[in-house]
Order: sequence, then structure tokens, then C-alpha cells
Amino acid sequence: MKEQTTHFGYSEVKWEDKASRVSQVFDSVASRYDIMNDLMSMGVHRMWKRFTVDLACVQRNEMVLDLACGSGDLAAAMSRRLGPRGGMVMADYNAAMLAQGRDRMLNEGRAEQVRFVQADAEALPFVDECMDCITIGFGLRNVRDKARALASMWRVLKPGGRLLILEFSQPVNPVLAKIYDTYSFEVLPRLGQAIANDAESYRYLAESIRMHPDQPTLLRMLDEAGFERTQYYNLTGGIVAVHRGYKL
Amino acid sequence: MAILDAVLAPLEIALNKALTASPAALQQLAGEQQSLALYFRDLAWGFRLQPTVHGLQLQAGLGESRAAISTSLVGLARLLAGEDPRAMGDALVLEGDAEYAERLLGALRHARFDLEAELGALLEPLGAAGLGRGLRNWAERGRRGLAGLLLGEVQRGPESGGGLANGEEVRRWMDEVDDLAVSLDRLEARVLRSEQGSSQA
Repeated sequence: MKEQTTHFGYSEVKWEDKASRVSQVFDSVASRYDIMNDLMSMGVHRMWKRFTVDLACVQRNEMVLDLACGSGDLAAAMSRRLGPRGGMVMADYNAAMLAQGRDRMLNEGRAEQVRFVQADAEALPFVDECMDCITIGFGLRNVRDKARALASMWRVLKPGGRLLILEFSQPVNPVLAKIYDTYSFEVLPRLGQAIANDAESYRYLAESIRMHPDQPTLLRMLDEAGFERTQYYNLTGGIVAVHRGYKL
Repeated sequence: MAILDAVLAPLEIALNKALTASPAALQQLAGEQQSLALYFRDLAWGFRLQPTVHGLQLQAGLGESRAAISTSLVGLARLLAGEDPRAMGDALVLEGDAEYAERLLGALRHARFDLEAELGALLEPLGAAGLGRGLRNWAERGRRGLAGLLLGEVQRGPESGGGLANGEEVRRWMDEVDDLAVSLDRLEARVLRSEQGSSQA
């Protein structure tokens, strides 16, 4: 029987190995994650995240799940809008990244309304229909079985709830795409080497972005998972896109 | 109209911030799911407003909707300022469920838009504080001018202490005056009856 494989950047790896290899990448970059994000995107990632939070339009008293929470940029911004009766769950597959997010919320005095869960997006450890809103920022491309993860998110959303996916995508302008390619494969690994002493992880970042489904493909996947009123917004010429779908 | 479609996201964000700040407006949308299509004849462009638990979702294009409004930008401004759509003639064509359209537009009228804050938030990341202030002043002057043009409101002079009432507030006040007039008529009639009763006795 042929062994099941999946992609890890441009490489083919065994299905069961991908999660641990992605985890190794994030173990390696966790301590320098925020500074690298600022350097790589020249600060623009803050605007992408603010747009996502604004679009999520979290209401007071809602229950929100932030998947692949990382250092908690989205969660911190959303938790401010929840009020004392709202709830937030920060979840990440990687323990080192989750610890970064937990430390940040503790430092900001927001840990009281937040729960921290190490979880696999493909099999979310929550009961059906318990979340009003789910966000996943720069995490879906690292998930092994995206369709399964989307189905899991659909399951835990309440009727009327929404999912927002912030993810690197495909630039819509060919000139921008060319510049972006050069930047990703020539500049990013060098930056990673200089700042985080890890060129390989940032090479994986560039490769994983190219392997991620483009905007219309991801939109179709959302439709297939059962989401309705789906749409996407291109940011910075499509370098990043925000997809949104509702469970009606 | 891809360029115009690009404004839908910031427009939706601004609308939903305003709706979130006005619980009564958000309440008006509760339980609704069907869309209202809005078509601007002068731009040859339209979109749909769909109620959600957090406000409105704006979607490009004119799909199947429960109600559809065809108007101009000025027509929409008049509508949001509180003008009766039935009195707008050709400036506004309404098809489908008029009551539903009125309910959605009513929610938007209740919402309080903070134009200055919205523009400030939009321009803040660009570090263009001076430009932002200039644009905000320009936009505010434009808004007042448009309101004056459409509603016949006078510009606020230095001697006036507060802001001018909007169309909705004026209508509510006029209703209260009418109620008061009716109450006075009843009171007058009672006094007359009691006077007549006492003279007969």
C-alpha cells in the first residue's frame, strides 16, 4: 500500500510527520516571532490583523476561539471588545507559541477571561455549537488536512457564528507577484538567519505560502465545509487575504 | 466595479461599529437574515446588505433580495436623513418588501456614525495626522453643507449653544407637540363640560 504523504513547503513528507516538523519550525522561531513579523512585513501585519478584528466585529458577551493564536495579536485585540462576561479561548498546536500568547495575556492583565488550550485544528476539543466567532491568523496553511479542520470549525460554531481566516495568499498583480517572490526567497531567509539564526524556517515560510490554496480555491473549500455567505478580501494586493464564512 | 467593491469592507466596518454602539439599532436587525439590495443609478453599481448577529454584511453585486432600492447617492443621503421614501418620487424606486427595507434603513438611521473617529482610524497607520485633521474638517464641513442643502438646516452659528436636531429628532418633537395639543383640547373640553355641569346645577 502506498504511504500517505503531504507537503511540507516544497518537500513531500509522510502524513504523520508534518505536524511535528511544523512544530519544530515554531519551536525554533517562537522567541523571536514578534520581532520577525514586524521586520518581515515592515509592520504591515498589524494593519492586516486590525482589519481582521474589525471585520470579525466581536460583540460584548460573545465566546471567541482564536486558533493558531501564536503570540496573541488577534486575541488581545478581540478580548478588549468582549466585556467582562465574554469569553476567549486561545488555542495553538505548538506549546512554545501558546506559552508566548499566555505570557502576553498575563502581562496585559487579560488572562482572567481567557483559556489556553493546546489543540489540533483538525479535531477541536470543544462541544458542538459553543463559539460565536472563530479566527485563525496565519495558521491554516500549516494544517495538514484543511478540509477536516474547516469541518471541525464549522462543528463548534453556533448557528449564526462566523469564521475568519487571515492567511498569506496569491498577489493579484503579476509585477507585485514577481517582487514578492524575490523578497520571499532571497530576502526572508537571510533576515531569518540574521535575526533568529534560522534561515530554514523562513524558507519553509515562503514555500508553505506558495503551496497554500489561492483565494478562490479556499473560498470553495469554505463552501464545501458548509459555510454560507462566504467572501474574501484581498489585502496588500493579495499578498494576504481574509476569508469569511457564516454557519447559518 | 472592482474599485467600488473595495470600499465595501471599510464601509461594513464603519457601519458595524456604529450599529454596535447603538444597541437599539442592532436590536432592530435581530432575527433578520434576508438581504436588501441597494443600487446607485449614478454609479451604475450596487451591493447587498445582509443582517448578521454582529450587524450587517455587505456583499458586492445584486443577488436575490427581499427588497431592492434604486436611487442616487443624494437620494440615499436624503433617505438616511429621515425623508419619507414615498415622498421622494423618481429619486427613489423601491421594489419588494417595503416594510423590510424600512426596518433595515431604520436601524441605520438609529446608528450613530462617528465620522471623525472612522477617518482618524483609517489614516492613523499612515502617520498622516495632519492630512487626517484636514480631511476630517473637510468631511465635516461637507456633511454639514449636505445636511443644510437636503434638510434646510441652518449652519450652527457661534451664538448657538448646541448641535442642531436631525430630521428624526425634529419629527419626534413635532409628534410630542401634536400630542400636547390633543391633550390640551381634551382638557379644554373637560373644563367646558364641568363648567356647563355646574351652571346647570
